Amino acid sequence: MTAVDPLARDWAPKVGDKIPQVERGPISRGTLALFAGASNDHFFLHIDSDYAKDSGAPDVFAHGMLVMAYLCHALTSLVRPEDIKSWNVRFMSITQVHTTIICSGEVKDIIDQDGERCAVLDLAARDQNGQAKLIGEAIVVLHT
Amino acid sequence: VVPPTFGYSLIIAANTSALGFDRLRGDIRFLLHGEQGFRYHELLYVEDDVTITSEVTDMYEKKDGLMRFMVQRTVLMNQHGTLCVESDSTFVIRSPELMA
Repeated sequence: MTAVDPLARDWAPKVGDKIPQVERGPISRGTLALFAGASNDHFFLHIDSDYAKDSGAPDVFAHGMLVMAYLCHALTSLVRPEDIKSWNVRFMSITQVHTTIICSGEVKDIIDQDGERCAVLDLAARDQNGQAKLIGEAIVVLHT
Repeated sequence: VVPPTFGYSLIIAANTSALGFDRLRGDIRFLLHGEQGFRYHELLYVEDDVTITSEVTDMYEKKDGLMRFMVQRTVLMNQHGTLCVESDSTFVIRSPELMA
């Protein structure tokens, strides 16, 4: 597909179109420490390997909201933040440190909602082996 | 403009997300974020003064109580009293027996 400029609001999808993939990572310990600060989630499971191992985990693992934030990059590469009406995700599996996240999506439907033309998107964030970390759905306003 | 998922950071900062965790009866180390949704009504901006209100809207159990779920609804309003973001979070606490 041709490049989309979210600021120009020129995305004109059809049902079945795939959205451009966004890849983030590998997720480092440093990333987790910085995200703890940014998210106000200072839970030691995400930043202290000793604590994580004492809790039975193999190592520190990513905040679910970090992966959701990555998935959000796939949305905001297409549409302005104010054009996201709603979205929800289900956290499918733990994202271990060093994982690379690949975010993808597909246009499932074009609908009218509250008098606006909207795209319904199926979204997924998977690791480098294709295991699902997050799956979800978003409704975004179209201007085309 | 405040990024779309940043509302959750504000919710944690306000500590309203801690609401109801005691009712999950479990070890916080085994707490997981199960689902998260946002509905947006107005954008939040830098320097906005945000009022955050949370309530526990549902609690249920699966696997004979070994997995206990809590659903929270949180609303974020700006300094004009305008509803900006609605956030729905599902948390699950797993009993250690499940991970043995």
